[in-house]
Amino acid sequence: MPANRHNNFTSLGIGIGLRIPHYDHILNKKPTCDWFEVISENYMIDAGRPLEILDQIIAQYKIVQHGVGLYLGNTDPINRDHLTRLKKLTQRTKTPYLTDHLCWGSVDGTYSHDLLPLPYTQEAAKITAQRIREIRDFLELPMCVENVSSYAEYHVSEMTEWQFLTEVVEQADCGILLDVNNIYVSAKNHNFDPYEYLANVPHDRVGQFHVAGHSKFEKYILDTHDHPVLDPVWKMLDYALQKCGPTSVLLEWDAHIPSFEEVHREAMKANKFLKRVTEAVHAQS
Amino acid sequence: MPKVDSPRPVRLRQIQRLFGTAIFRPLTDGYQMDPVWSDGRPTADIADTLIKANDRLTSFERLEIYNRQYWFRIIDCFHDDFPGVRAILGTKRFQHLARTYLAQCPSRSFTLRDLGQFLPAFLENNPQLAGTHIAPSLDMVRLEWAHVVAFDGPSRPPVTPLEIQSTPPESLHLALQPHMSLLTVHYAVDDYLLEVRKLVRKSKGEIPVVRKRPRKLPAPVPLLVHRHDNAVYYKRLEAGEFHILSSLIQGLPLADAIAHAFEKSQDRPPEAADLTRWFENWTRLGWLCPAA
Repeated sequence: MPANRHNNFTSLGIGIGLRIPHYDHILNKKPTCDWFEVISENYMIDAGRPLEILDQIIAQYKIVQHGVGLYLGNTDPINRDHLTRLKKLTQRTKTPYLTDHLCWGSVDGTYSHDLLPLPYTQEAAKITAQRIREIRDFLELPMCVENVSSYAEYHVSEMTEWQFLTEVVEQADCGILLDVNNIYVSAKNHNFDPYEYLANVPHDRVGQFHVAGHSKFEKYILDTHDHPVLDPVWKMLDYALQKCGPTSVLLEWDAHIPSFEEVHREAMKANKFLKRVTEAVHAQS
Repeated sequence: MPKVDSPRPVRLRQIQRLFGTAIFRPLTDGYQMDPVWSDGRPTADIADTLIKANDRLTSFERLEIYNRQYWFRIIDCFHDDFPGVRAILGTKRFQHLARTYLAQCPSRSFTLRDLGQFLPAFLENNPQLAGTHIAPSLDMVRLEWAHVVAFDGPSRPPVTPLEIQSTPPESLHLALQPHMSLLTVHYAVDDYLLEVRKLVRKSKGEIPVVRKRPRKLPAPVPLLVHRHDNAVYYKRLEAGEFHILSSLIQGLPLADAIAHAFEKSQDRPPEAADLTRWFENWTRLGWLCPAA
């Protein structure tokens, strides 16, 4: 399960999201880090310093591209310029696979720059799966789709979120980037059991995990990526790894970003769970 | 604006159009979702057709989270891209400009980098939004957009001194690199923006208070915004450089560009030594490329 066709048979270990405040530290100190996740859209540019930095990182570290703009559940036509730029970037980074979100984000050509929730309907699953297939065929790389955190539920939904995720990935025959923090956030916002979610997704399709911190408000939880990971989320990761087997884990930290060392230290907390499940797999074999 | 005929939109396209309309609508002055829909009905009724309430939040409140996130995100981006305009106008007036512009020119690109691309033209057409500070604001908005373009805009292989020497000037068509912008400024917005950017870096994300405004220049100054070794520079040009580069941009072959550059100007045509010096400098910096 850990290295599967959806993550191009990679098992990378523990990574962190590449962020601008850490550029100098990474380039000058060359710290140990299993891999970096890069946000594709930050580097889908013609030239300039971001690409210069990226090239230096690529030369020294393993990279996986993560997108925030494919909007796999959109009903607008696929943006060919976006895809062409994305493909060019994948050829530069040699990413083994691509990830993006199970969401929509623009309509009639106006962009929200947000990861908006889809209604969990058969129609939405079919449209999204078809779009994933088209994009993957164009990019010629395996894809994993990430569950998003959400704050709203639609009247028209016909199934649970995990049933919808399963429906989409099976119709598209793609992988899952399972964000356990997003499951926790949505579970609190929509009153469902996060462990029921984790127990019922197709484990053999999980190609990567995300963890992050979130912020609690009076009436809801917001996925802010500006805190350390909370204990309930680590517990969920532990459970999910036991279900899925040793799989790459990525820590996201996007706001109020502390030093590289602090972010890396936080990410390495996943090692306890990853090590345990790896040892269990080895013991069985 | 989609018409809400049926009590509940069912098709994915309908749902996305209604959701999009709701979240792209401007917030109230108190940064809340507008309680009145465009046709006069309560927005809460519209939200009820789309979104379920739960035990803590109404449909309206759940949709409002997305409406607020959308506006906070794009306004934040606007603050990042135009710190100079913000410093000139002050936070309150800048915020009003941002909200007015973004309501009329929402993002039509997958990248937030393009968000401010229409701001120079928008401000020219809506000078009242800058009040008495319109002239320095226009200089600044052009400079700041030029900075965005120079930061990551495309480059083409530069023309070499040998290519210039070996091509007859009557048939040599040159252009500036596509990431470069040639401006004329009336205020010292280049010095001012460097100062503001320094303050922004020092303030670590907080909006710095800038009390002074850019000083007016004794005469308009040509300013070239370019990228060298992946850093963006603002370079004041000599008048002669500006005239020749302007002519080249208009598509004239090199010989005509030099011959006609000073026709409408009171500036003295350059000496041969000036031309040599300028071309050496431009080719060394890679500013010129063959015209497309």
